[in-house]
Amino acid sequence: MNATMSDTKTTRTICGYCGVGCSLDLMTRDNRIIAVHPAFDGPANQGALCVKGQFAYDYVHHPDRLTHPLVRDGEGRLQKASWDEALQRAAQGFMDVEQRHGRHAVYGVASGRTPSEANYMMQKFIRVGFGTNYIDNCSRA
Amino acid sequence: MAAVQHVSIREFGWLCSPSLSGEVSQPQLQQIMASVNQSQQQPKITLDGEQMEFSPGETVYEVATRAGKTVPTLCYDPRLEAFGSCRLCVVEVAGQRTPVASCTTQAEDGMEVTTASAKVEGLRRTLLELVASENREVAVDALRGVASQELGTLVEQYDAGCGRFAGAQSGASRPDDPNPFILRDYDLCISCYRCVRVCAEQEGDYAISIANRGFATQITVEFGGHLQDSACTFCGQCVQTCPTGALADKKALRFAGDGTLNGGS
Repeated sequence: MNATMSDTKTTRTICGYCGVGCSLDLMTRDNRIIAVHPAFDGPANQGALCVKGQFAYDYVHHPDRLTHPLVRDGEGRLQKASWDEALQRAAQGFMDVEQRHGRHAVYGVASGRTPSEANYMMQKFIRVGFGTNYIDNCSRA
Repeated sequence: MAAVQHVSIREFGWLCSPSLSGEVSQPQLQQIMASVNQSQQQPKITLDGEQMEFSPGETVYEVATRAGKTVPTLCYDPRLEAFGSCRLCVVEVAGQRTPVASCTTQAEDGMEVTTASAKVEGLRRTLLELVASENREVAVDALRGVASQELGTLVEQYDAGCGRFAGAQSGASRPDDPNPFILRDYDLCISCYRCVRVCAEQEGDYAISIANRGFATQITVEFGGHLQDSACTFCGQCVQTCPTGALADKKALRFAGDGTLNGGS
C-alpha cells in the first residue's frame, strides 16, 4: 500500500510497562524500533495505548541502557559482573542487613508488571526467606 | 413484506380474559400463538437483494459490514458513537427520497437497502473529490498512523482527483507546536472529528475541540495553544484514528529520517 512501509517489519508484542498487558505492533527498520502501533484486536486495549506504550520506547536502543549486571568494587565504582557474582553479592547484602538489624529490616516491593506466579514467589521469598510480612506492591510503595 | 403484528399485554389480557369468554377458544389461542411466534421472529432487512437478519438497534452499516459488504467510510470508527458527517456510507433505501447515511440509520424490519448502486457510488466519488480538493496531499507516509491511509486508499479506489473543486481550504497546520510526539498537520484535516471524539469518548480527556465552522473549521485545544499546555496526555489515540495523517506520529517520522521535525523542547 505504501512504498515507505515495504522495508518496515511489524512485530506483535505486549507493552513492557504496566500490568494491563496492552497489545501493540512494533514497527522496525534495520532492527531498530521506529514506531509503535496499538493493536486494534488487542483484548486488553482494543486499539488504545497511553503515552508510555505509544511513545516511550527510546530506552530500548539507548546507549545508557544496562545490558549486563554491575557490582561495586572496593572503591565503590560499578564494575561489569556475571549474574552469579551479582546475585551472590545481593544475597550477601540482604543477609548482612538481617543479621545486623533483624528480619523486619528487610522490605519487599513486588512489581505490578510481573505475572501472578512471579509475585507469589516474591511474597513467599520475603515471608519465608526473611520471616517478615513487610511485602507490598509497587503502587503503594 | 407484511408488518409484524405485535400483541400488546393489554390485548393479550383481553383475549385471555375468562370474564368475557369463560375460556380461550381454539381460534383465539391460534391467533395468540401466531402473533407470539411472529413477534419472536428475528427482524430482517433486504440487503442488495439478500435477506439479512439483524438485532434491534443495529445500524444499516453494521448489518451491511456483517454481511461482508464493503461500505466506504471516513468519519467512522467502530469504537465511537456513529457521527454521520462524511456521508460516504450513503446507501439507498426503498421508499426514501434521498440516500441515507447507513452509519446513523437503524435497521428496520422489511427495509430494502442497496449498498452500491451507480447513484451512490457517484455520490461517494463526488464527496471524495470535495474532501480531497481541500488537502495539500492525499498520499501520506503510513508511519503517520494506523488509519492514515484511509483517505488515500479511497481516493485511489474511486479515482477521485482533487482538481475539480480546487480552491478554498479548511484547517491550518500548527508547525509551531513544539511537542515531540504529535504532528499537528491540519492542512490535511477533513473535519471528520474522529480525533475530537476518540479523545472524549475513549480517552475521557476532552483535550481536543473544534473552533469555527465551514471553511474556517479548525481542530484545536483550549485557547488555541500548544498540546502540552492543554489537557492532552499524549496517548496518541487521535493520531491512530486520523484517516488522513493530519494528526501524525511525529516521533516515528523523525526516527524514519525527517530531520525537520523537532524532538521537543
